[in-house]
Amino acid sequence: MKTSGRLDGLLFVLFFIIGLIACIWYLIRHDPGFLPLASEHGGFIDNLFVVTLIITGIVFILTHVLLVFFTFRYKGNGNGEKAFWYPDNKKLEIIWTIVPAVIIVALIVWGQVGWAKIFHTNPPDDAFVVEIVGEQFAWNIRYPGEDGEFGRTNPELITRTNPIGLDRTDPAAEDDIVVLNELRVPLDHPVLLKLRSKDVIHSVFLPNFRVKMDAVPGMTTTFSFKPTVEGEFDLLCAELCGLGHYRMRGYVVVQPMEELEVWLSEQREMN
Amino acid sequence: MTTAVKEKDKKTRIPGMPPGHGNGDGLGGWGGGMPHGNSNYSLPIHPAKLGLWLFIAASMMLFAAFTSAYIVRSGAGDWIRFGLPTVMWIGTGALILSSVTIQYALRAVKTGKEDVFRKALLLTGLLAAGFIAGQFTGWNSLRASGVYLETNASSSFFYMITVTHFVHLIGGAIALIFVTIKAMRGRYNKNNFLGLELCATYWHFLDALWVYLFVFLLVV
Amino acid sequence: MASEHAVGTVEHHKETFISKYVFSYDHKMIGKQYMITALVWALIGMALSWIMRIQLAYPAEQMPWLETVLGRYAEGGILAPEYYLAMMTMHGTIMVFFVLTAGLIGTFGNFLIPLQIGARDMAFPFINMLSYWTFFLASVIMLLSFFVESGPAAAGWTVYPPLSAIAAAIPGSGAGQTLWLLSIGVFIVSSLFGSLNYIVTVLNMRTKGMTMGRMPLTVWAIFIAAILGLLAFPVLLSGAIMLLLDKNLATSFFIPAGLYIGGELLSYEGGSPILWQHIFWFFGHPEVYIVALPALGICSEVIATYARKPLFGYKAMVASLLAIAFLSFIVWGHHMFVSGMNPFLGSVFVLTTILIAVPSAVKVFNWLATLWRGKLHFTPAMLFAIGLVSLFITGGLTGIFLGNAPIDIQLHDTYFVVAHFHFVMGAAALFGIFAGIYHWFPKMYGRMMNNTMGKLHFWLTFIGIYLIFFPMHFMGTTGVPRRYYAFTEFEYTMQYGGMNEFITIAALITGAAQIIFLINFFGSMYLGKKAERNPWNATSLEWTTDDPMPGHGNWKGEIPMVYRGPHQFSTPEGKEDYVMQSDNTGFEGLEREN
Repeated sequence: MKTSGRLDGLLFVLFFIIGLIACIWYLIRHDPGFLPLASEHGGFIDNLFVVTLIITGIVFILTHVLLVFFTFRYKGNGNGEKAFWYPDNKKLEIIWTIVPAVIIVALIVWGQVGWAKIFHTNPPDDAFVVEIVGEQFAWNIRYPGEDGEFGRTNPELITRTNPIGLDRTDPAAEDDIVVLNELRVPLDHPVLLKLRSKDVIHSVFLPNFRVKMDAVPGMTTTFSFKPTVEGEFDLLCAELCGLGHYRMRGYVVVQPMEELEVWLSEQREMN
Repeated sequence: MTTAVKEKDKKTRIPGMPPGHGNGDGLGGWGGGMPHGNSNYSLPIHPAKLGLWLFIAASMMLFAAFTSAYIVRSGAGDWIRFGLPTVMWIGTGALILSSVTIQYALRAVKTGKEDVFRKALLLTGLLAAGFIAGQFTGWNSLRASGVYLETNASSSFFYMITVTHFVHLIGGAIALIFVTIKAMRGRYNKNNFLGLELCATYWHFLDALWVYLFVFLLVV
Repeated sequence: MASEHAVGTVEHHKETFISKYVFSYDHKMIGKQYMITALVWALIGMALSWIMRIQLAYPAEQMPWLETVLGRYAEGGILAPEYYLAMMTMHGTIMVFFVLTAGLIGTFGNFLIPLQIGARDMAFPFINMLSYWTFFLASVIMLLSFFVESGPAAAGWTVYPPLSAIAAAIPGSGAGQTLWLLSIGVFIVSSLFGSLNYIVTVLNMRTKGMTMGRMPLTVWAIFIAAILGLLAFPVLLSGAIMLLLDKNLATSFFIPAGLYIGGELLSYEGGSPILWQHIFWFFGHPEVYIVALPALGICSEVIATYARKPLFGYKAMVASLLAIAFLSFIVWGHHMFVSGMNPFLGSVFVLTTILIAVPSAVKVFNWLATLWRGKLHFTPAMLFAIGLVSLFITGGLTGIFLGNAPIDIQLHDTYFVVAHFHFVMGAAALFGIFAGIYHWFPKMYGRMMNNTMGKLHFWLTFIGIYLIFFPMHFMGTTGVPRRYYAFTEFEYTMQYGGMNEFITIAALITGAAQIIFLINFFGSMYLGKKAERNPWNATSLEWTTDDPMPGHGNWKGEIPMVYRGPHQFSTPEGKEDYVMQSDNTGFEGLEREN
């Protein structure tokens, strides 16, 4: 049995080097490709990403250098020539079990610190609360109004003009403001999103804010964050929700609290 | 040399399995027409028995999933409880008894009391029919009182779980009929009872599973 | 001797065309049936991915030929969004279930287990035959769903309700989804039959001397994957039954109250969509390893064989397979970090999930150590195995991003995930299949496949896979969501227009390169060079059969006895660079006493 392999070894080397150069060139041109960051906790996520990228990048290069080098270097002639007898080495195996385990546990612990900050801490009482109710294929955004409370809703009351079925007989509902696809949140102030859905599962995705949470029918999910950059951003759906999933577009506007309050009172008058 | 092998084979042989051949397993060839002949390095259990136990394990996963989902779903606010019909208690009793009689039949055939064995087997069939009748009566009485599959999640679970168990039981009943016919023809004796043994194991599983499900439906 | 008697029966047994090629009991024929069926499915799945890729690269561009091919799915030459989603759903379903699950464990489980452990057939040949034909029935039902009026299922291969349960939400959730659930139900029964057989055969049918610790790694991997399948598939069955009832008989397991879909209020009560996700992923994560483990096992064996070295750390390799299998049952929540599941649960799942990286790392390092100072033979099988190692590293490392919950907030349901699972589950498992086919083809058909074509196939596929899927990481990092019909609605997703075109072209070329494989595969069946009994100088039992292409019963004479572990290459005491497992050198006279 004869197999030529010099070319294959060389191709592995070439492919690896060219691929690596292309990759590094791309990373230098685009950073990792993050969208401009606009929230407080997002910095943590980006840092964790970059550190993970560096660690896994090193592992990737190391293992591939070995893989490619071995394939290049240790070509047999196919004449039944013997290889190096090396069936086992306990010490080596223990090392490469423990070292990855330690690195990985470190990453988890660090990750969990951030996870706890995002999810295991209650949002402050003065958080700016907004409700997002997903439907095929739009976002109904509700602000509680001056009383800070959302009025009752009832799906039986849903009409074209009352998309979330707001029960107007409830006093708390009187000053509720419902707008379509326009999420306005205050700058440098904690925001608490309450997510619901009228029909199927949607997912509120604010890529600039590193925010994503499913809006599940029959329950309310939450996500709290603090916007740090003024401007207009995208709101997308990240959970397959039907044929219009790809164009379920919303906007996020971050503006100082005072401006936001002016806008809210304008909306109230229009409502 | 060859004799040595045979001696060894005899020692490690599984009762009811001829050496090196899987056709006489009382399953009409289900156990395979190919020789085993390698029992030294195998588990000391007949392949058909092991296969049955694995099937039982898979079934248990199915019902574990059902009952876990039941627990989760019953936490939602809309859960309505309803009592189980009394006739199901009687059916449950019959099924437990049938488990006892089939075990009795198995013991009888092992000790060579073939007459007792056939009677016990027929009694098992009768009790099984009783359980089946009990299930149908129970379902009918529930539907008569307005409890349908789609009435409430609790009734959906009830029907789904009991019917899925019933589908398993149909399989057991067919095996039981098959075994009974063979028994009547005198195919089982104290050296050859694998088919009966498999049937009994499965029947015990159906029984234990039902008791678990019944208690679960009563309590949770 | 008992076996001699049995051999007689085999030889006198008259085989008709039907009993030999259709309702065959022979494990080798059943394995081939699985392989050919999976091959057909793979071509269908690939064609679907082409259609998707063309839509993503050239959205809203009229292509009249598309209407010719797809009919009303693409009226006016533009693929409709609901049918894009149907193509996507069917691509995922077909690839995961019918190609990677049935094609891998079905093909190699059946073909290899009896040959490698020294048995004449599986423990239950009849159930084995049923297993293939129930799989075939599942295939037929799934194919039928392409022809119902509302089109095939379109709610993704994960079929999350309520979308999957309510036809008003998406047309595919009508009859198409019902057929989908029925097909998967039948598929589960088939897989159960298969698993039963694999497990019992491995435990009960080994030849003399073949202890568990002497089994080739492929058998170990398939054995463990079969246990996973036995325990995981019934859970999916429970979910499928509940979803079917919700869909067609108005129960409310998964569908909550107060849904307002298509201008109508639905009459469901209090069900939980999250419950489905728990059930689905409790099955879904082991499923990943049902697919991956056999591929890893094949990779280990192929690497050892063509590196002419013993597999480094055989015990550690088996232990890591077991560890991965065990962990796979307690990690399902990592698919649900941002699903509304309790975040405390998320923390638990992070830990278990990332721990899987440890046994996976052990596997990679052991493969590298096996290659080190080997005498590598670059056959196509070896190339695919080396390629698998590379893909497994790439896909495994991106798993460390996704498994760490905070990063997953941003990356969940983006193209980063698409890249990750196509590397580690899709392409790696596919490479396992290819490595297996190139390696065992001589045993399957008694002829050799063409080496040059095999290498060309490898290089085009390997480079192609990287060109298709690696750029997706960048898209995902930016936050481009998956399952989008077009990227035209958002500015930041539009910037990837060029990249999408690039990926599509790469996908078309890589797909077309598979023609080389098909020509090689079917051509070699008839025109290939006649194979020797052991063309690769491998060590395991399947290479000891009397003919290069064994008949029913596998060995004409006695089944050989086993004296040593698998993968004994280049042993210091051996005369050649390999010692067969059945080689009794040093154990003379033991065969009758053992």
